[in-house]
Amino acid sequence: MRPIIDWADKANVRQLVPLLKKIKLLEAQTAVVLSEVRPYVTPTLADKMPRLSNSLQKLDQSVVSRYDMLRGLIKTLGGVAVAKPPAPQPIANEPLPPDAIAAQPYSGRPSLDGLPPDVAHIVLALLPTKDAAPLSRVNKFIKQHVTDDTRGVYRHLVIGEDEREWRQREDETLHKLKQKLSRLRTVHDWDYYFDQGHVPTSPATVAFSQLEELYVEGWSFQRWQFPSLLRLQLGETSRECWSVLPSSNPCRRL
Amino acid sequence: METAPMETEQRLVKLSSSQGDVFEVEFGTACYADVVKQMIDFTSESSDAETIPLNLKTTVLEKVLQYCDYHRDNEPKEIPKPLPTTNLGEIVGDWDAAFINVDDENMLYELILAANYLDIKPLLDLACAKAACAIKHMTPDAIREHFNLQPEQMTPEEEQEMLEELKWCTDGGAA
Repeated sequence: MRPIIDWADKANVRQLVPLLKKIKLLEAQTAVVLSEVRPYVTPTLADKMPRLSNSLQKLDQSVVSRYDMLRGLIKTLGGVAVAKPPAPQPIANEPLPPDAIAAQPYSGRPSLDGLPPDVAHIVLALLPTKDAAPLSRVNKFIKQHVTDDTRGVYRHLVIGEDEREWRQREDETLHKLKQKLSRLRTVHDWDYYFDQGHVPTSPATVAFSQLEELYVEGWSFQRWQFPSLLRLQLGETSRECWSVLPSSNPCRRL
Repeated sequence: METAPMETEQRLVKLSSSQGDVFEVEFGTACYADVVKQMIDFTSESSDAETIPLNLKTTVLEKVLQYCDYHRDNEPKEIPKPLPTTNLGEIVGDWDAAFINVDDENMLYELILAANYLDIKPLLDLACAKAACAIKHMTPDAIREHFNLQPEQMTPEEEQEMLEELKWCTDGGAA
């Protein structure tokens, strides 16, 4: 079990470890010098001075023991857990003139609909699109975030791990969805459901002309084109896809 | 040779909240926020002991500094998209999950705004993940009630259009 040290001792441990490493290095150097000593203790010299040989042997063992002890200490200190830090406390109260307060670029009210658009889209991107899209029914502010034409849910498709069923709708619904998805810019897909079997493809080859980011576990996009793809992240099962990426693809990061 | 980083490490920085409360924190903690680092770089040219004013309530600044102090030495975990579970502890670890488990809903959104303002991306992601977990299983009606939001006044035609639009993602195909 890892020892847990006080938050206040974190800095002490940080100073302690390099010092102990320094001592360990000195012990290692001592061991090297001791090994250089041994050839000079000939059998005849050892015979005449039995204490010399014994002392050197003890010294050797002691150095090895200290080295091991230091190594253990360093390892222990390196693996300690640090207790939760105490909440910082103010040390003074100095009212500042209003003009000294740095302007906050956006100060919406602290609520879901008061978030700046960029931030609201971070929240939405953490939800599967299936969960995020219905939020547009909450009110007009949230609808703006959800359906925003540059960063809304129809530009950033996020498919959850267990979400096969939402694509198995009737043709009319899927047709409407497909119209929206053709302008996708990013796709985060847990698995390879986002293929021609689940989202209707017509004509046979579909080009996602604006798609720049694609994170997907599996790969089954042989009939799909991503001419604008800049970032592609694939799971372990998708390595075979390299061959289907056109050589002219502008993808900058794989 | 080793004294320069040590001096920087031990240097203390004063940050004040919008309510005038002054916090003295280590340089490394303060600089976890890019915006504060830039402010320090800017102000240190004129005066070393200048207090950096931040437009954050005392309670929010306190919480942000707690996060920075912890994570300056403990790299936060990346949060996957979409969230694989609403149990944040499984995703971000116990410390972060406990940190962001705030009782006050306002504090969560204050933290989101603060992280955005101070450009602390891991804290922004963490707080947004908490918000996403909170709303994940809520219906639009429940969200309106929870956040005390006014519903949009829609005509029956607009309502119908929206229901059609959302048909693909609602259970059973009906919104």
